[in-house]
Amino acid sequence: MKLVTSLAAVCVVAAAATAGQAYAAIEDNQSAANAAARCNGALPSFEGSLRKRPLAVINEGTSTAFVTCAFEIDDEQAINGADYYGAYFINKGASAATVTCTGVSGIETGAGGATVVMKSKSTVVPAGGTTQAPLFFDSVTDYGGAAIYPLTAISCQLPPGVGVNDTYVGYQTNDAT
Amino acid sequence: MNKPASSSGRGPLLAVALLGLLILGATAYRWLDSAQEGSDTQTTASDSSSVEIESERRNAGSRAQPRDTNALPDGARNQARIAALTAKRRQSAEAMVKQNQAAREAAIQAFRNERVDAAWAGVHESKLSGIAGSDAIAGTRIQPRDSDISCKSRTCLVQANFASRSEAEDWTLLFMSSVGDALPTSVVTTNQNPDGSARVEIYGTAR
Repeated sequence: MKLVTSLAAVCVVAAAATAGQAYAAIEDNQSAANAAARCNGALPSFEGSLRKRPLAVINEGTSTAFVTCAFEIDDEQAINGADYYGAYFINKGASAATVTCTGVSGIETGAGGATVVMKSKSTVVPAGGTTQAPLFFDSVTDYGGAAIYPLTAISCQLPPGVGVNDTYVGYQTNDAT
Repeated sequence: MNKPASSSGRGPLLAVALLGLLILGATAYRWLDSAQEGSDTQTTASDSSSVEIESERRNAGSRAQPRDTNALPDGARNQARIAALTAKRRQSAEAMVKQNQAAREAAIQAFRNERVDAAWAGVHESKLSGIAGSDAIAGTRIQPRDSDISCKSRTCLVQANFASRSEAEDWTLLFMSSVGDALPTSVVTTNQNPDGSARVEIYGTAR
């Protein structure tokens, strides 16, 4: 009887191992980088005001500056473009500031007529440099559930004292064998 | 005195043993089959069609085979991968252009068919004019010509001409970076005129 029990156990283990050979699972991925890796002045004239610190790109000038930040993605593995993209903002000024951004996805298609869809929103960043405010574009809230083209970027208006902190892009892969 | 095992008592034991062997055999077969599949992927990698199939398989959700760190660089494989990327990129770009064009047509129709809510339209036109004329944008010294902002009850049309396409794109980016919640979704079109100047049309949904 002991032998029968042992053999049954072996069968159960073997069956479990066989079942484990094939599986599929959607995995959430998120690529992060501090702003210096992804953000630049939108025009050369803004570069003089933007300080690219290791932990944030900050407008240390006395007037508004514009930055553009582009996000990289694992294009071979992403199954449905980007799910969301955006950044956290910091304000070292003495009063709360509003950051406005526009989000764009796609690639440059060349000369002649070109049409792009742009999403825009704003966030209020508290003063004092301790609270970071998020501003993200996501496939459900901003794109009506449609897939976002995998190549994404934001351009933002930074009031004096405001900077881009950390930046993120989220996407999904199908982990299957 | 030991009781001899009867032949009928061995029946279940043999059945279980046989079942166990079958399952172990199936497991070994699947393992070997999987290893062979990985080997095939390596040996046929230089064929561009196999790369495309591999790319499609990945896009369909299968996990890529782990890269063999001992593999030597393979120029043909690289070229095939770049060719596959170029094809995929072209398809994606074409789809994107069609999608954006459809969004533009829909925005134009929505704007044309909308009735005017004079009270809201006036307020929103002033708001957008204020953004367009803000110091942040004016400081770049890019001058829009013949600019016009017209709102109805939900949507607005912003249009302007610029000396060059470069100026048009710079101004548009700064304007769109500044509108925030005033125009959450916009379809932006830039057309270059024969004389080198450029025209921008922004159909924005404000609420």
